[in-house]
Amino acid sequence: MIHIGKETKSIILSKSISMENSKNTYRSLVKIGKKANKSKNFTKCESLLIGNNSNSNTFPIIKSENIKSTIEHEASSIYIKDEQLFFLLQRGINEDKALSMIINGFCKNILNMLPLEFSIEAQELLSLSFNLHEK
Amino acid sequence: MCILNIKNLHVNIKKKKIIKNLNLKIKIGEIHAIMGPNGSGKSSLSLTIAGHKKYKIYKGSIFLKKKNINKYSIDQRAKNGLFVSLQNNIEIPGLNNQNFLYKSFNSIRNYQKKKKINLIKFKKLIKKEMHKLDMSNDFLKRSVNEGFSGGEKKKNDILQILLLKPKLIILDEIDSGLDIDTLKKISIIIKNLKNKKRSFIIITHYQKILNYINPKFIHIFYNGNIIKTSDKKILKKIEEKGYGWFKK
Repeated sequence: MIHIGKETKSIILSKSISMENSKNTYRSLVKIGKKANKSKNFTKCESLLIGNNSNSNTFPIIKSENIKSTIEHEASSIYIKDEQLFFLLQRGINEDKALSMIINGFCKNILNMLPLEFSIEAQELLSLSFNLHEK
Repeated sequence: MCILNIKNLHVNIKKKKIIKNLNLKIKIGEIHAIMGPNGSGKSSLSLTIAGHKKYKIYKGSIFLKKKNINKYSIDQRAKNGLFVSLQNNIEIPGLNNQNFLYKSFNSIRNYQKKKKINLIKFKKLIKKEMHKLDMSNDFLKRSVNEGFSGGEKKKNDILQILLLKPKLIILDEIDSGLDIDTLKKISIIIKNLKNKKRSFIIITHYQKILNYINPKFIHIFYNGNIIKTSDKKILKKIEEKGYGWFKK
């Protein structure tokens, strides 16, 4: 994200899912130029970890040439709690479905921004990739 | 006929004994209450019946309607008519409440070989039930229990009971964090739900809800077992002397 003009604003929202032995790395550059007075950037990285061996890293790079601007960075990792899964199972939902419901919930505020057809496709894809894994 | 029959049940968590040689029979249409000091194993019992993986049965068996459910998975037990309302309600960010209720509802109907209900009919049904609990419609658009107040979470559990119509309902501290009016309303709903085919186990620390609901038996739980079974008369003694009195 490069800010050139003054009073420009940007938001970066990154979500990642790592399962089993997968590793996920987020790298970014937020640059605010000399003339970009009063610019704002907000970055949020959330990673969902499934299983004990999954791994997620965040390497944000921030370059600011302007003292009047603000840059925020927020990173968090979430894992699926046993209790969440237990709750859904106790309400009669099977395990595959419960898992994909929790994962879809995690991705929801990104999927919602996509065009309808693509968002449906992305949801299908998510549940498909997790079902394949189970078999 | 018994809906729940627990025989010589022993339960471990990581080799620590939590429930020791428990026997409990609950007939169809009865309300039982379980009381006892903190850490006596009341919640462990409800989670064991529900089939939580952490609680390992190493001896004894649990029968639900004559079926031995020791090896049933959690969702299988739920589909056979078991409902457990947890002490701490779980939050699932991003999962739409209506979506969750709809999936759960149809999943159980599917198992019972009933016809699937479409979303439009389901919405009508759920609005009728929500009216009984004085819930507003925006409740359906929110995420499951996320940002709910304590009372709203409990109401959400009651709503699930109204929809799913389970046969055996275990309520673990349903009365904690409720104001008097809400408690009364929920008690009345539970009383109305009680019929010849439905049984309840109510786990609680307070008498108030029991005064409204009138359980047939009150079991005192201590150190992983029932040490006394009585009726409502025992409540006064607990109030006066506490649980220490039973230990002797």
